[in-house]
Parts: sequence; structure tokens; C-alpha cells
Amino acid sequence: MNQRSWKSRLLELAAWACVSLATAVIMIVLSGKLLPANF
Amino acid sequence: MRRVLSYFGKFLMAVGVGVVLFVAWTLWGTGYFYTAHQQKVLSQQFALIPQFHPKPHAPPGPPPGYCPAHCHPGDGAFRLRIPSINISFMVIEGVSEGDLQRGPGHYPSCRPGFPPPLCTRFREAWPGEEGRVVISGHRTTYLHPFFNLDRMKPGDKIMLETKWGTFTYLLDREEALPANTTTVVVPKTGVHQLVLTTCNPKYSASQRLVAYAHLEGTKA
Repeated sequence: MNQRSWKSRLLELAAWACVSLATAVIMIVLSGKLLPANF
Repeated sequence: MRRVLSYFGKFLMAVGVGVVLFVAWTLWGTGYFYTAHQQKVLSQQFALIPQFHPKPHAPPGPPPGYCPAHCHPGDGAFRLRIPSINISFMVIEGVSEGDLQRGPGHYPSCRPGFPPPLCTRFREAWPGEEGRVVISGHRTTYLHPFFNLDRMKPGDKIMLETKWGTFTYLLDREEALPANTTTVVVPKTGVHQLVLTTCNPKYSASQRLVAYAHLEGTKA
């Protein structure tokens, strides 16, 4: 059984949300180079 | 080992959500958070330019002094309305990447502020003038002004609202051309033509969709 507290779970969820946002931001920054100019 | 796999799986899911967020931003966020605001600003700036009333028998096109006063890179050039696909956009003077992010762009002549290759070495045509008025726009991003360009039918009206009159063009035909085609910006003499270009097919830039229209009427 998992005995983790709700705070610990919330923190982990926030950390993964940060990973998602970081991925999106990196792709947006790179998209100027990856996507054709008139997509 | 199980713990590592669990974290790796969660990491992949988080990255997947990030990719979905990126796609959502590209398709819709760019339009609603950037282009829509820019279009509002351009409309407000365009409204401040006084309306010209050309004399009867005056040659069509911008009145003397209009350019270069109101034809700088990124200026709002005129309004494009296509009722059949329900669009109304301020057209920007210029077709650079930054220009097209703000709305459809009027293909300019090469002059200070408009360096090659995003300009034509020929004289640009303005709405109402003889020659070919060329407008390029995004198909899937930045409020995708030409998303439904392929849904137009021959005879559909395309209106260009300028400060020297409103010009109505009627669609003649559409064709898909290779992406590196440059012939559409070569002027045509003896005709009053409008050419709209965008990417084709949707969500790709492998071709250009080109729509040709001819001038049907003018309203001062």
C-alpha cells in the first residue's frame, strides 16, 4: 500500500506539470526553426 | 527497477502532455493570444488614416502621397473581406515571417524596409490598379486567415476595403502549385487581378494553394 501524504502527491503532480510546461516552451522556442515559415 | 519504470512512464506522459500543449498553442494560441490583438491594433491605426475621395476618371490606386506615408513595413494596408468563408482581416504591408504572424500580407516591391527575397523586383499592384495584387496568409497558425480558402467557389466575392475605395473581385479559379513557385508574384499587364496564396494542404507546407480573382466593381 502507498502511504504517501496528499502533499507529497500534489508536489509530484506539480513537478510533472512543470516538465510538461518546460517541454511545451522548448518546442515553442524551437518551432521557429522547425516549422516552415508560412505553415 | 519497478520504481524507475514508474517514473519513466510518468515522465513520458508529462512530455506527451507538453507536446499536446505545444500543438494547441501553435494551432490556436498563436491566433488568439497574438494575431487577434495585433489585428485590433492595426484596425485602430487604419481607422485614423483619412478617407480619400478620388476624382472621377482619376487613375485607380493609392492617391498621390499615400505611399510611402502609410506603406511602411508592417503597416495596415487595407482590409480583406471574403463573405463566403466568413473572414475579415487587416492586410499587412509586407510578407516577412513577422508580418504574416499579424495577418495576411500584401506582397511588396523591393525597396528600403523590404529586402529580397520577400518582395518582388516588379512594381507592386494596389487594389484597383492594373496588374496583380498578391496577398499571402497563414493556413493553420496565427488565426489561420486562409484556412478555408479551398472552400471558395468560382464567382465568390472578395472585397478589398482601402482608403481610396472598396474593390470587389470575383474568384476565377484555384490551383495547387509547388511550394517554391515564384511566378504568382510576376505582374500581369492588361488585367486587374487579385491573387491569394497560402499553404497546401492544411497542416502542411508542401504546396501553395493559389486563388485567382478578377476585378468586378469599384465603390468610392
